[in-house]
Amino acid sequence: MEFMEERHEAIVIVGLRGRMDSNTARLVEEKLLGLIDAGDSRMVVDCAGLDYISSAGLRVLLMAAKRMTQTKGKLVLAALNDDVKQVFDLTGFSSIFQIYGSREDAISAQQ
Amino acid sequence: MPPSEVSNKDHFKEKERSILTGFLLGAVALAPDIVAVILANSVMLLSDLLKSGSETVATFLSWLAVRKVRQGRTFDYNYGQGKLENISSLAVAGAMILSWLIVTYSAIERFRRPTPIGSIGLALFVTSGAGILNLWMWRKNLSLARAEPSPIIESQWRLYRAKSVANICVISSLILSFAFREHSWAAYIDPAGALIISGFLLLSAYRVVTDSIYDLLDRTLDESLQLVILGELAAFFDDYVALHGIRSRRSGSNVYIEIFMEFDSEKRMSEVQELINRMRESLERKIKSSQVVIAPATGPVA
Repeated sequence: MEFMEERHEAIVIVGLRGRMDSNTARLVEEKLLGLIDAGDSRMVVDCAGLDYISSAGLRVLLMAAKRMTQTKGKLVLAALNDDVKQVFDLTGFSSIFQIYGSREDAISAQQ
Repeated sequence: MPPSEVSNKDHFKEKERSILTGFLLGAVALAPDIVAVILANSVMLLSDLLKSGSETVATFLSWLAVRKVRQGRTFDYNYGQGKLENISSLAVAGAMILSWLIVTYSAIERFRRPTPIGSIGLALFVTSGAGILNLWMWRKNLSLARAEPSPIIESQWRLYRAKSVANICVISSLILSFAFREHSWAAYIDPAGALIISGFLLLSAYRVVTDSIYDLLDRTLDESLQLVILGELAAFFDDYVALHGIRSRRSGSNVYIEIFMEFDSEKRMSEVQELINRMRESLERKIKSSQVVIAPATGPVA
């Protein structure tokens, strides 16, 4: 699992690549919550390289979304592949996140 | 008494009755089996007898466990009853492994020293009767297991499936050995059939052991159920402030889920409690045999 971080003005863009399961979710949790606690209040999670997400991965995104709400910030997702999108639809996660088709659309929405 | 509690009790009684029927049938069938083994001089029948004996003992242990659970359901074993079910399943698996060792050893010995079988009339009669009973018990336990998943009933229907297949092997082997008794190679049919039984036994034992061991070690829930929990957290997303942890485990046929979450500090305790009740009831409706605890927390819970 790769975790990439870049910035576009005040927006932090987090790229996830690989499989987000019980083995890798902890690392993503530390990084995402670390960024939010450090004061990043506008975040785009780019899922273009995310091949698979398990319940452990969903839990991390849920915790991050909640933490972001507490700090009055906004976390949006971009470029989910069909399999990941299906998991989001199945669990109702599609209704709690703003999901954009591409990273550019997500960045525009955060500006 | 609430209707759900009544039906739960009835279900436990039905489980107990089904296992006791299996034990009594198994015990009664042992006597003619012994006579049949002596008359037929068949290693497969001997193996079948040893297997039936050990399975009958294991079934008796299962019956004791279910009886204990039913009697102590609300008092002495609030948390441990599921493990008692798992331990009984391991006893059944132990009996299967023991039978496998005996069958394999006996079959190898008979390959080394081939011996023609003797009179098979009584053996055919007894095994056919046992086969019909085992098929009936297999179907009965399978429908019980589908109604409410339980390690004991799960191991029981697998046990009767193994017994039914073993009966079919025994009958086929006896008929073939008798029909081709003039040929020297017919002496190998009996041990070959015994080895087929041993393979099937080992497979069943492996399934029962792996299922029970994982549950005894408090394995977390399957991914499909984890997704159901996450779905509920998404459905109630606006009703809590933060999620601090989820713990889940299986114990026997029961599922235990603990969710630690933070609520708006401006909310009154009665409001939080009402919210907790709604979430708990909703999740317990979606996950069969589950007991959900939602605990307010203000920090991460490992």
